[in-house]
Amino acid sequence: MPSPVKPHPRTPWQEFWYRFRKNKLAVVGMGVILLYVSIALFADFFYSWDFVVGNQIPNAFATVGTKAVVELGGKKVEHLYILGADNFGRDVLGRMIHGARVSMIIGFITIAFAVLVGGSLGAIAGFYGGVLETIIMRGADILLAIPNMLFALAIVAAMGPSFQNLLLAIGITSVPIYVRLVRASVLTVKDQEFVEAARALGARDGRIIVRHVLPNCMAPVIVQATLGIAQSILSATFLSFLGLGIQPPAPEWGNMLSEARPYIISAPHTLIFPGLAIMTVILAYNLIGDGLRDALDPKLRR
Amino acid sequence: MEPLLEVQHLKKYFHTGYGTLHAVDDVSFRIPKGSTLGLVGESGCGKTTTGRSILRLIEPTSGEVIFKGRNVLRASPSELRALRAEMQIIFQDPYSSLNPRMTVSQIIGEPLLIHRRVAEKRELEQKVRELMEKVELSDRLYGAYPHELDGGRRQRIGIARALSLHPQFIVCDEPVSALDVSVQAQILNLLKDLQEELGLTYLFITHDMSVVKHMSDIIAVMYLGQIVEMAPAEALFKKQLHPYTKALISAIPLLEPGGWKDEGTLKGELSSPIDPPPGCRFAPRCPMVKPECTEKDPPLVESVSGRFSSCVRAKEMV
Repeated sequence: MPSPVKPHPRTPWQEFWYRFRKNKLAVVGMGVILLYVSIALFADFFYSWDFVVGNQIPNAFATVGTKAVVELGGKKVEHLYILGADNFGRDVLGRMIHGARVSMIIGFITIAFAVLVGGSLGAIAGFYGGVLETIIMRGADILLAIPNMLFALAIVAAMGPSFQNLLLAIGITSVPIYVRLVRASVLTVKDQEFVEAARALGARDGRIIVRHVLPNCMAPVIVQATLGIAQSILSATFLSFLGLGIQPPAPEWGNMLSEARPYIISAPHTLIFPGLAIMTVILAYNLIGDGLRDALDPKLRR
Repeated sequence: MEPLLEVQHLKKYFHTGYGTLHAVDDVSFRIPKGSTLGLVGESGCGKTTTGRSILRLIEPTSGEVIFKGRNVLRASPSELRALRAEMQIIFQDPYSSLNPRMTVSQIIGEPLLIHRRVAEKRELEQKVRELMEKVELSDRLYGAYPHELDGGRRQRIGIARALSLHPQFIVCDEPVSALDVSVQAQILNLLKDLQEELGLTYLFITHDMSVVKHMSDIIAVMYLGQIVEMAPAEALFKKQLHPYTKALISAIPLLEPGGWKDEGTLKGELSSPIDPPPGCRFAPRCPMVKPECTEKDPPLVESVSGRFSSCVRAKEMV
């Protein structure tokens, strides 16, 4: 028989990577995120936690590149303030690096929660239909009708500002998007013949949903999740900016902005750098999201 | 001979906004073990619905399906799962009937995992390779994805998947309609060889008269949800005892000069299956229609030994 297969058959992953790679901006975005994630992972390696939360009053508002003596663990050492110091003399770069940790974690955990909960509900609603679908979808509609930030604010205000409550608030507000998205995809996939074939083979509903329906619904969810991470990070910085998220002295980009606000004219570096960090991370996630959308869109496939 | 599958008074009605759609309207037949019943008819006549109702992929409205003495329609969910290992289906469209996220080996091996027919990975791999050999799929395609293959090879995957649980009965739902003619022949011959080798019983659904002639022992002709004529394949092609069958067979093009004559091509189109009026469903298009045809549904009766027709004038056509 003549060879029916291309000499190097690609797995779906290779196929995806081949197309994703063509979008240079998305690759740059991915590079930026990888950089942020690794910095966040090794934050303690660059600056110790005690140092970034401890006051160094004599060095308050040290400008970019200042060399100064700091107290660290009872000893006096010389330290280079690469991006300057804030109103308490704390290293801005150090605080940004430890703040990255919070932002990355919030982005991943809230969206993982939302995809898991929203995805399961959406899959059940789409697959089974009927009363169950009506209940789930109307619930999602109600959540969607409340402005996201207002709802998150309400949750945090009611339960008190803490890291867990911040995660919960942002996570819950992200859920309904995934309910709708997954339900819509499930509706288009569940009537295809391979799903009927699985049923004819005696597969149970759980297996049909997990093995046959959901894997064919993932593309829009992955795109939305990437854009959602950006939204979550932004929400978290916003809540922290308002004093409802991460509490000082723990560093977070939003509360760094909040603390720097009065000094925007006298010490702009305390505000500009955290602001830039937020901007680049959101931009990077959005670029990746756009790249993923193009790479996963079956209509653009050749 | 004892039938492997017996269908009695099978009905499937769909309730639509316009009324009740009689997709399958009182269909009965039996298929002896090891033989093939060809179910033919034009698009929308209920062939596919019949096939899926038998396997309960669509829940029929009423009727009985007896498979090896067991009533399929009354089986509990767990009994049904066990039954499905013995009754399988091959789909029409080899593109949408294979999960694009699974490799060839995963698709063929899945039924074995669902029914716990294998104990370990190596046994699974070996069985999948045996099945691939049985349907003449090259071993190299073991890890390939369906989108890398052509229609014929994809259909072979569908056949291997259906065979994996050693079923006795297979519904072939237009298995070659989506394929090139040359590939059709290969797949049809494969199905015939497998039937001989494994003693399979087929319900072969198609709209292609030459395919059904090639494959079937008995042919049932369907029109608007009802079987209008049923007879052994050869006898049916020699003489038709229903005007609809006659029209169908006269429409087959012949490959000889002057071979095909227009012997009354059918006028009009399929009347609506929604709330059909009483009487023969074919009456509005029938060239031999008589007043009594529209009085009540004509039953499918044995007009000559072994031949069934629902036409009131069947005796005149013998």
